Amino acid sequence: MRELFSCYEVALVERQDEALLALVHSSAVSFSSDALTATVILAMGEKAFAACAPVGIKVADDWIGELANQLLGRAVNLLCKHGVSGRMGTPIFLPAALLAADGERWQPLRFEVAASPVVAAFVWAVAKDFVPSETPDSVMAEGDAVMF
Amino acid sequence: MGWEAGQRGLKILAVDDSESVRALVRISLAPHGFEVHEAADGAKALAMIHEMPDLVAVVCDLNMPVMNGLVFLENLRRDPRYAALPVVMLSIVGHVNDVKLARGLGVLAWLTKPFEPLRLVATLTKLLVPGGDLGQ
Repeated sequence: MRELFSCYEVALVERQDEALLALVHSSAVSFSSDALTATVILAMGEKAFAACAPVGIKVADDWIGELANQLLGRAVNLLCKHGVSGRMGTPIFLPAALLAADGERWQPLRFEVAASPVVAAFVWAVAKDFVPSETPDSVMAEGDAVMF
Repeated sequence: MGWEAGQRGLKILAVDDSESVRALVRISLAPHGFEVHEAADGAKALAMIHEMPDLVAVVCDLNMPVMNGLVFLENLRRDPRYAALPVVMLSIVGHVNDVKLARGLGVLAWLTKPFEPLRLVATLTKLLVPGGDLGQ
C-alpha cells in the first residue's frame, strides 16, 4: 500500500482507530486462476482522494478503481513469480457504506492521509492442491519499460 | 531546436478503460506536443483508428472490458493498413507470456504502471521522431 501510494507522492500513515464511517469512495477488483482467487477492496474519504489524485484527475471512483487495480496488480506480480497465472478483472465501484457497515469482517488495513481514511481489504481463496513454484523472471517489475 | 519540435501535433490514441489513466497519458504527452485522443476499449479504438488516417501511434492497456489489448492488436494487425502502426503497451502486469504475444503482434514497447510520464514521452519520442532521444 505504502509503496504504491508513494509512486504518487502520497505518504500513508497507519491508523488503528475506527475510520470506516468517513469512507466515501470504494472500488473492488478481482483476480482468478486455477490456483486461487483474490479480491482487493480499496476505499477512501473525500479528502484522501483529493490528496492522492494526480493533477487533472477528477473522477474519484475511476481513480480509486485504478489504484485498486494497481494494488491487486502488485499482488498478482508476486503470485506470477510463484507459478500462478490467471486473469484480472476490471474494477467495479462499491457503495462505501457497504464497507462502513460490514468492513470489520474483511479485516481491513487502515491508513490515513490528510486526516482522511484510506482502507484496503484483501480477500483470498487458495485451492487446496496449490503448490507454489519459483518463476522469478516471469513478470516485469512495476514501473519498468522495455523497447523491442 | 529542441527534441519536442519534431513531434508537434503528432496524433496518439490512448486506449484504456480508466478515464484517469487516459487523462494521465494526455497530461504527460500534451506538453511535449503530442495530440492525444482517447478510447475506452479495443473495440472503440478500432472504430476510431479508421477515422484517423494521420494517427502515428497507439498507447494501449492490456486488461479492458469489451475488447482487451491483445485482441485489439490481433484485429488491428489483420488490416494491412495498420500492420506497422506503432503500439506501446501500458499495463499493470507484464507477464512474460503476454509480453511475448504482444511482441509477436508487433508491439514496440511495454511499460508497466505506475508509469513515469517522462518515460512514456521518451519511449514515444524514440519510436516516432528520427533521432529522437531525451538523453535519459
